[in-house]
Order: sequence, then structure tokens, then C-alpha cells
Amino acid sequence: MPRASDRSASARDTWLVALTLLLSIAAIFLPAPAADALAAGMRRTLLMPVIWLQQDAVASRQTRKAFAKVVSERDSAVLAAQLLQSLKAENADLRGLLGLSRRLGREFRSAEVLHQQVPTDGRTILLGAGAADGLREFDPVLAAGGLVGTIRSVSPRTSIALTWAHPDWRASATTLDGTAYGLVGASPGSLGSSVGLEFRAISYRDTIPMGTLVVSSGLGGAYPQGIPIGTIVAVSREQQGIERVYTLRPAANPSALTHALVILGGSATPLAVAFPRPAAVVPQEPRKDSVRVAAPRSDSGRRSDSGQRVDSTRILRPRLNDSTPPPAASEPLPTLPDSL
Amino acid sequence: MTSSFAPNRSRLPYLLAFALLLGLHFYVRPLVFESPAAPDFLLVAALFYAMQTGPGAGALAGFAVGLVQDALVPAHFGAAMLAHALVGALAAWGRAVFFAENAIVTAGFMAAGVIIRDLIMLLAGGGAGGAPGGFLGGTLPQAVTTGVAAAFVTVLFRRWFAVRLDQ
Repeated sequence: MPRASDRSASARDTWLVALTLLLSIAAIFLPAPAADALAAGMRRTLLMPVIWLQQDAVASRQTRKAFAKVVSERDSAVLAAQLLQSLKAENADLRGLLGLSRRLGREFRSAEVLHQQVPTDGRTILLGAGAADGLREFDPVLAAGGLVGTIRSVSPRTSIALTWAHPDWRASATTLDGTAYGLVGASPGSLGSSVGLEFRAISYRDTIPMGTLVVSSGLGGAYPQGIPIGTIVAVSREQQGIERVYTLRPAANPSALTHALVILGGSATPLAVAFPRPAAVVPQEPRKDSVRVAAPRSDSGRRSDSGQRVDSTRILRPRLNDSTPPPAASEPLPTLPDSL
Repeated sequence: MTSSFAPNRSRLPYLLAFALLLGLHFYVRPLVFESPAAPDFLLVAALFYAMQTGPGAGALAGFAVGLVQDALVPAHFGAAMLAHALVGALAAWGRAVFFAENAIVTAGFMAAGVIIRDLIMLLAGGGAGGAPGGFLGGTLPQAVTTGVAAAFVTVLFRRWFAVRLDQ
């Protein structure tokens, strides 16, 4: 028969386990703003020393890795810098001759990614830069390869980025040649699955070739136009006659990032010029189907940044940078080609 | 009052060991490891504490570690708390019921803790959709490395934890 002290300890254990489980379940159902505020408060106070410790460790590792590379690149940069002024002057002259403005520049902030050892790391990532560095909520987060996500919450010295791997993340996207518009989101995978993205809400008639690059469309104002999101690798599923969903190979992997770039000041101007384009996918002449006509009509209210479309890349890629005014609602839809 | 699981001994060794594991987790791990398969020293600390105390204290320790993880990765707030609290309680209960103090068994126990923790987190977080690395690519390697780290901790801190290793 257990002693009284043992019974009392056992009862205390039971109560403690029940209490922690109840608190955990309550935390799961906590409204997102309250949960974010609680997490941000902890990061600002209790966890500040360990975040600083981790930030220092990541910076040390990066410094160690980058040192040899920097030394070799420095010599090349010295040579290139000698030619830079003449190149700038020549570029300005040529752009002036063509009637173009200078290439749009964006202010950005580099931030260390502080990974944690939990399976949901990668859906949100902790960045070692915050409000004190100029970061704001909803600033786009990029990697060298392409789009990573957006800033979800900001503390003075840290911030949380919601990445494309999060089930709640969506982005308006288009193919590089502008023939299809849709939404990109994380694919609903099983426990054994690896990372994946889906390009959804594509008209059943719009067949996209494998290998096509999908970029942000700029619609909705969440992300600048032209940031690579992923490459079409397969047809995920299709609903006969209505919709086709494509699987994308992501352009950037949040769980493997060591550094991210945060574009400061929102998403007003396009960033297409910042990313190299694959030569394999040749832009096609867009088909004149009703979806293509309807898309600019429905989005005409959101395309308020047309006054900033002054970059040469945007002129050379007319389908991405369609400056033609959308047809009036009363205009008849164009006749569909016979092939459809 | 002492728990039926816990011998009455000083908490200082635990605090020192926990501080050391905290340093390993937040400084040495990001300095040395780049892959998501890096050992989870926080979980090791929580489970060691749970195994030396009892289910209540174990759940509380797990809850605290989960709160830290949720504050740093608030993708699904509360999921880490739930997972770590459950694993902490299970560790204390499992240690009392099942196994002897042995480095290899402890390693296996920690590896199982990582797998159960990740499963609960992914289920509480709405499945593994979009999880970079996935369960097979992320969790299983991490379970192995965490188990190895736990075996080292068992051997190194056996005096502090008063662990009687089986020969």
C-alpha cells in the first residue's frame, strides 16, 4: 500500500500534468494576435539573451565560412570597381538615349536566420533583425533564389517571417510569360512528404509547360512583381473542365536559409530585374481566352502602381507588364480561338 | 515533500547541467551544425529532468521548453508546449516503469522522445504539409543525433545526475 506522502506526490503529478496539458491546449486556441504578442514579449525579454547568443553563433559561423570567399572576391571587386564609374556613366547615357529612367533600386536589410530544432521551423523563421533595423510587418522576405515569405511580426531586434511553407501562406502569381495567373500555396502533404508548393486556380484550358518559371504577379500588393517563386514540375491534380493544379519546385528553401533579405518599404515597385531568368522557357504569345481578359478587369482597381512602370525590363516583357488599359465591363469578350 | 520518483538531492547539478545544455543548444549547435538534423539539447535537458523527478515536474519542464520553442517558432502556437509537456510526462512515467539507467537505452529513449514530440507537433499543427525536410528527412536524423548527444550527456554527467550506469 502506498504511503500518504507517495499518494500526495502522485496526486500532485497528476494535477501538474493535467494543468500543463490544459494550458497547452488553451494556447493552441489562443487568437493569433494574442499568441503573437505573447511570443514577441518573450523574445523581447526572457529569450533575448539566448537569441543574442544564437545570433552571435550564426554570425561567427558565417564569418568563418565567408572569409576565404571574401578574400578571393575582393581582388575581383577591386578590378571591377575601377571600371564601375565609366560603366555607370555609359549606362546612364544609353538609358537617356532610349528615354528610360534609371533602374529602380530598393532598400533592403540582410538578416540572419536563426533556426530552431522543431519540425515547424521553416513555416515561420526567426530573423535577427527587427523594427530597429527598419523592418515592418508585411515586408517581403527574399533569398538569393527567390521569394521566401513575408514579415509576420516585428520586435525591436528580431522578427518572425511567415514563409511559403506555412499552410496559411498564399501569393498571387503568374507564369513568366504572363499566360496564366493563379495562387501559390504550400501543398497539403503527408507526414512523410517533403516540401512542396502548388500553383492553384489555373484555368483548365491553360496548359503550362513543365519547367516554366512562376513569379509573383504583384497583384494584391503583398509582394513586388517578378520575384521567382518556383518552377512547374508536374500536374498535381485537375478538376475536369474547371481547374488544374500544378506542383512547383520552390525557388528558395526556408529551412536551409542562413541569410534572408527583407525588402523595406512594402511592395510598390517590381523586382523582376533583380533575378536572372532561365533561358530554357521561351515566352509564348498569350492566348486570348476569357480568363486572360477577365483577370486584368477584375484586378484593375488594384493596379494603382502603373505610374511606376518605367523600367526597361517591364517594357521588353509586355505580358508581365501589361500597361494596356483593361477593357470596359461593357465590352464584349473576344472570340475564342478554334483550337479551344 | 518529495515525489515518489525523485530522490531528495540538490537541484544545483540540474541547474548547472541545464545551463550547459542551454549554451550547447543556443551557441554550439548553430555554430557547428547547419542541417536540421542537429541534436535538440533543450529536449535532452527537459527529458533528463523529467526522468530524474516525476511526471508532474517532467510535464512542467516540457511545457517550459515548449513555450520557448513556441516563442521562437510561432507557426502553430501551443503545439510545441503540448508536445513537450506530453513527452516530458511520458518520459518520467516510462523511466519509472521500463528501463534501467544505461547510456544506450537512454539514447534510444531520447530518440523516441524526438519522434513522438515531432509527431504530436505536426498533428497539432495541422499535418506536415509544406514542412521542409518532412518527417523522414528532418525528424529521423535529428532523433539519431539527439540520441547520441543524450548518451554522451549520460556518461559525462552521471555523477551530477547520480546515474548508476549498468555495466
